[in-house]
Amino acid sequence: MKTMRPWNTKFVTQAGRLQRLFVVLFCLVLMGCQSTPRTTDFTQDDLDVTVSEMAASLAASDFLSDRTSASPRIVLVTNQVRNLTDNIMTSAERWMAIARLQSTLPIRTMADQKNIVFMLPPERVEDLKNNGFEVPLESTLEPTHLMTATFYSSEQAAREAGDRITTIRKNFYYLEFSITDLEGRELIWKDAFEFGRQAYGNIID
Amino acid sequence: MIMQRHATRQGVVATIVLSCLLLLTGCQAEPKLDVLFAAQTGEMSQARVRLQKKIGKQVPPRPTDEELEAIYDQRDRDDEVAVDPRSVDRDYVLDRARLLSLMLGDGYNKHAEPVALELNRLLRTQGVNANKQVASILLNEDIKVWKGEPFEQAMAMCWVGMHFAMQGDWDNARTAADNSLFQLRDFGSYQTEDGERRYDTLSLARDMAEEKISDVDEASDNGYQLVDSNFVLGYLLTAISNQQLGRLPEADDNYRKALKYNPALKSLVDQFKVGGYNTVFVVEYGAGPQKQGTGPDNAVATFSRMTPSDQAPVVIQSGAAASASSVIAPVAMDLNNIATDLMWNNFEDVRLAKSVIGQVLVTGGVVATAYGLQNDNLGATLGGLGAMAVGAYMRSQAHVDTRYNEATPQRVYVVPYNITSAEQRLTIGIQGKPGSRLEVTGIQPARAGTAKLHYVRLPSAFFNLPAPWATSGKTYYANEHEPNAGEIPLPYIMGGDCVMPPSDAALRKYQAAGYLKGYTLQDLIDLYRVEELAWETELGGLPGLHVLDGGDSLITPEPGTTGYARLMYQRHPYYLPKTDLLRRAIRELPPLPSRSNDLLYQPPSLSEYE
Repeated sequence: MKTMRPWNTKFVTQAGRLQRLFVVLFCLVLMGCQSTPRTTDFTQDDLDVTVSEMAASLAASDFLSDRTSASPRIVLVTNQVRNLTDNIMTSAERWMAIARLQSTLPIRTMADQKNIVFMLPPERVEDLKNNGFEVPLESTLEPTHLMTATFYSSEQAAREAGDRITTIRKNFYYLEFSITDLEGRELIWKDAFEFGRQAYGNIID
Repeated sequence: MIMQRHATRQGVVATIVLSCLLLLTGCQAEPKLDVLFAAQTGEMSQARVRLQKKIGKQVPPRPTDEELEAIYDQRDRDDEVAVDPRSVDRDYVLDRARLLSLMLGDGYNKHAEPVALELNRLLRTQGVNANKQVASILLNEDIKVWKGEPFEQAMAMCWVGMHFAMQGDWDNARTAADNSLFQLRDFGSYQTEDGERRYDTLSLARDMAEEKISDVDEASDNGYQLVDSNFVLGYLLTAISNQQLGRLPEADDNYRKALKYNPALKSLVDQFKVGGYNTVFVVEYGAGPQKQGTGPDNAVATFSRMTPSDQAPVVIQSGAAASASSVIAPVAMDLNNIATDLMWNNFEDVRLAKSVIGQVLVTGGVVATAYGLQNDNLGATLGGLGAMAVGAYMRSQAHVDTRYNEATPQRVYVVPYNITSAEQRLTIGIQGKPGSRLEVTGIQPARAGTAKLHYVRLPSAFFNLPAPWATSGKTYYANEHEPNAGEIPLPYIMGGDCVMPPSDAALRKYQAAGYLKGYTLQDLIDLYRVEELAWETELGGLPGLHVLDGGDSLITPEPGTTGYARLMYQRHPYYLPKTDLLRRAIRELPPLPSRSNDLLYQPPSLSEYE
């Protein structure tokens, strides 16, 4: 019968001690080798967090707070997504970010509760499909409100103490959304959401 | 006697080892001549497709877990792209920079997005060579993944920006162009008999070696000033992008900086500011400077000029010579000047240090060997030879990394222009260089109130006469952009002049001319399919060699580019069928008419097809 060796100092031989030391050292080396961020480009996770914050902000806004499912329908079309960051986003990626935003649970719940239809321009839906993205079928209703999204960023680069070359780069992203009432040409909601990304390593090399 | 033989044997050994050591030294990376040739002659397709095949097998320098998994999956599916995920391709970035430039020039910008995005991703990734610093000191610089000199990175960023601007995506064009404007390290000047001169790599290295700069570490770490970039192309593209996005203060700011570094652009910038253009021509010309190793052990990087610099402007002429209207624009940026400026080069202290280490070891070895031979001391001789071997090996490896992007131009022009219709025929060339002339047509005007960038790579390999295709003024083959061109409205693969992909419109055209009467569209498609010709790529795929070049692709380059002109404005050898199905179809055709004024390229006889 195979017995488990109790984890007791009595049984820990010199070799065993060395073995454990190596294991600990190995783990430490692994931790040291754990990949550090090498780019300040933002990720899908960043956008997901922003979308949740944006949905909460929109739901709490004066513009929507008094609305119910019985209120007159609002058709909200996003007509412009502008990328002014240091981070290249293809047109399809930009519009996919908006499509994802519109299909998140908080936004869909809010749309049902406040009688809002979120839409993308038909030509953008076509673009997304041509680029291999799955986009839900869009209704073609007359828009009552327009939404624009603009992504900004600012960059800082510095040398870490003791380093000979520029090694740290920080990017602050600032995602701004605004909604305009088409009838009154009035800006009725605007908010911005921020996050940062930091990368390490020689920028040139 | 025995001693003499012994000494002779040592001499032979020493001679052999020395010969080997001499062979070891002086190894440098050779320029990729096919890329250099392609960029200068306009014959870019073959080099482009070779690069495409190569990058299909490359592994990124830092594969993520997901990427590794994808590579393993791909390897399981397709033996042809079998790659070892543990290997790292050191030319991964370089090949993409070369390829993007060739794709823009060859007219396949719309397909270049995956290349542009990956190039951008790697250029934006910091510390790609982080784990190779020690190895590069002990071995050589070219074990590192190429990220290029700072000016090569800035140029690559501008190509990424141009790729987006050509599609009217000025957001991303702004992003990429702005990313090319990173800060630079300025090491200042030094005193000569003729006055003050700015440091270049060689002079700085010399001053450090001669200890005129006392604290080398301090100089290399802190002996410079961070200064704004003088990359005029980046400023111009950033300004134009901002102007297109309606961000006028940002545009003005960047135009001002472009003027600061190139005051000759004053009237050009004024034209841009006024607006009224719907096309921004970016015209590149000449062979960019070649990177070489010079100095002791080739340890100091220099860039030698290939196409000489001058101030000749670019001329864009519209219409026939008699009534032509011309736009003239000065050189926006000269890469010869940029490349030889120390601010735009990597700092070479490591290379110099390696060279010094090698020098010391070899010198010590020579002394020991000479002592051993003279005193017939075998131990000293072998020890000396060993030291020399190590030293010479290090010297041989200590050479500078001379890989560079051979597709880099010598100069760049940026010109605002107003295209009135797609039929407008333009002649673009450098004043006083007839060999650079290129006739283009088919450039679609942008939507009213907007502008698109149009990239043209002018040939520079021909001195006094342009390439025949560059100025032939005649489109020999019908394609999607010029469906009525050519003389015989029949597929090229059947002896005709049409390279349109199979479609209802194409078939109707053939049938109206009396050919392929009983054919359905599916019959036509089948003919192309059995011949293994493709007219579209999979999502993210890159177009192969065009059928007119002997390849298997019917994807036409974008009009107005060098690639389109080379393909469409000259005759190509006729197509040789691969299958019996096509041979039978050709046999059933009525006799084809003769082509006017074109004795060399009459329709082939049936026996030639057999």
